[in-house]
Amino acid sequence: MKIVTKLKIFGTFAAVLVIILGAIIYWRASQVDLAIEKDRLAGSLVKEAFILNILSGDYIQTHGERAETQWMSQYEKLNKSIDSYTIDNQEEQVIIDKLRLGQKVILVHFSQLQANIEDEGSPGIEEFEKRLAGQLSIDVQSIVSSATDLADINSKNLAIVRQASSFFILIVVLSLGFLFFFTYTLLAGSISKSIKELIEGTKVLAGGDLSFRYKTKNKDEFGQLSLAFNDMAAGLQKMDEIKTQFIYLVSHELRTPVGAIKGFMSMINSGDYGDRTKKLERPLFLITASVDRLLHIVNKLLDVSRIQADKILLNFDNYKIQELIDESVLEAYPAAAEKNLKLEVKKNNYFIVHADKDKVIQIVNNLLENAIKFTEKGIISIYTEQAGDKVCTFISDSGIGIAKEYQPKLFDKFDEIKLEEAGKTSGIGLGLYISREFAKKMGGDLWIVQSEPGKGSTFAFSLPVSQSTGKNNKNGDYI
Amino acid sequence: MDEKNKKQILLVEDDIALAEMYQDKFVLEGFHVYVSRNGVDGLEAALRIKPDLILLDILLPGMDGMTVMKKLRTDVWGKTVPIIMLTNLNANDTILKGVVEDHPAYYLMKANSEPAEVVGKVKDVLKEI
Repeated sequence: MKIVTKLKIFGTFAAVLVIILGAIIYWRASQVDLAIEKDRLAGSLVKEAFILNILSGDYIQTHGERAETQWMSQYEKLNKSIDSYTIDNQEEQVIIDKLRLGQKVILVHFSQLQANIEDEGSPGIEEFEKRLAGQLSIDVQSIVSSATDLADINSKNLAIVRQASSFFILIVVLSLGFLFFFTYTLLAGSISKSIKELIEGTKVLAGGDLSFRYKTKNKDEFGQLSLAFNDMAAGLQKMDEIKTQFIYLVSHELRTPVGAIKGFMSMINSGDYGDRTKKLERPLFLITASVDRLLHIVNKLLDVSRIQADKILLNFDNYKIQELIDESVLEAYPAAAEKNLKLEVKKNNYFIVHADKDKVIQIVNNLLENAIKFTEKGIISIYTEQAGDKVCTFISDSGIGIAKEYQPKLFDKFDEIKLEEAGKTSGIGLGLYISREFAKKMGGDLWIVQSEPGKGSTFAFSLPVSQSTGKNNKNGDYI
Repeated sequence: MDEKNKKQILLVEDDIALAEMYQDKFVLEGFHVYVSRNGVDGLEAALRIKPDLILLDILLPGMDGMTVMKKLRTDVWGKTVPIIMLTNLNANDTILKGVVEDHPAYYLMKANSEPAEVVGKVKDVLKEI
């Protein structure tokens, strides 16, 4: 289901919840209003009965015409109050019936009292009047009492309705709130999960794994985005393959003419074409150096394309690592001597590694080449030590060092930007990448041990200890 | 050295500069050098001249070096003639896979090897036979 459809459903669902909540609150509020109104009517009944009681007393005392009129008027008011009262249950019905009966009784007694008052002077009338007055008072008080009972019932009922409504509304609000939150969490969770997956995939792609693809069956917007992401990744992978193929073809094609130049130069330099004139010596030297550099670059590009196409051939054998290091040091010696740098080799003839000779020499060459390139004075030292089933070779220099922020980028391809400040960007930034890939292919690794600007660097690479010759024997020569 | 006693080398190389470079070096070192610029000519020249050793490039126009070698190995004379392959291809590349074991007396040298190294290799191989 599409996200937009899910959001629409969720919106409709939320709106329905709000409407239900509103209707429930309105219904409960009406119930409370009704109870309040009834409570008011009951209160009014009490008030009318109470006034009638006072007026009864007044009439009994004064026998006046005004009191009589007031009593009658109040009686009517009470009557109206009783009529306007809505009966909801049996209990109320009993009280109202009692009130109506009481009403009739007091009217009879009031009329009798009226007649009696008019007959004043008849023998024994005074005694009768007292009795009638007493009866009226009792009847009216009985009405007041019944009205008060009704008011009490309503007060209690109002309290119950209020409490019930509050509780009911609370339960409904909580239930709807939970329902809303649950649905929201479900929706938000599904969206958030998809976004997280896309972020993870993007990171994997950014990390260089262009083969990463989403396996999605979703047909929503995220599913479509995942498919678009896959298309983009496929495009990038295709471009990367084309780039690798291009580098391979270009470098391969370059090697033939460069090889010819180098061959001719070596023949000229060795005198195969006769003696060189003095004037030509310097240009010939520079041409030779440039061709060497060009060949070096072309070879590195070929290595990169082979690494990327997984076409590196390794000829494994067992070697004394010191012999391979010595071969490389011999090659690096002139360059170090030219800068007055001391090459210090702590020899150890006991470590035997299982590796490809040419690749190991290439790694040491590269690390020494970098050390010489970025060191102006001091010492470059090389030593080996065994760590578990690996032999580690350390190459330290007293050169410019590398700031921490640039160190993670050191092993990226074509990345020598970190050396721009030092004005040392003469390479193409492939050496460390190639060396590390070679070390990994041989079952080892290559890493930076430490480096600090102005305090030099230490690089190390590891190679597996030869298994066939057994454990390296530090007390004797190798087998 | 007497022309008759000179060792004969057939160089099959399509790149003019490389061909001329190796030719110059081998001549200087006392070899007699024949040069072919493509695979078809190289095969024909080899069977006709029957040189002491063949320097064969792999990527050649017309017929590639591998095919030339396979065809030579079917010939009575060509079965044993030493062949040095000159190539920039890695031995892991598809074109080289599976040929090493099937075709004896052939050697692999990088095409960008110094002329002196190639001459050295040729001399070593010729000493062996």
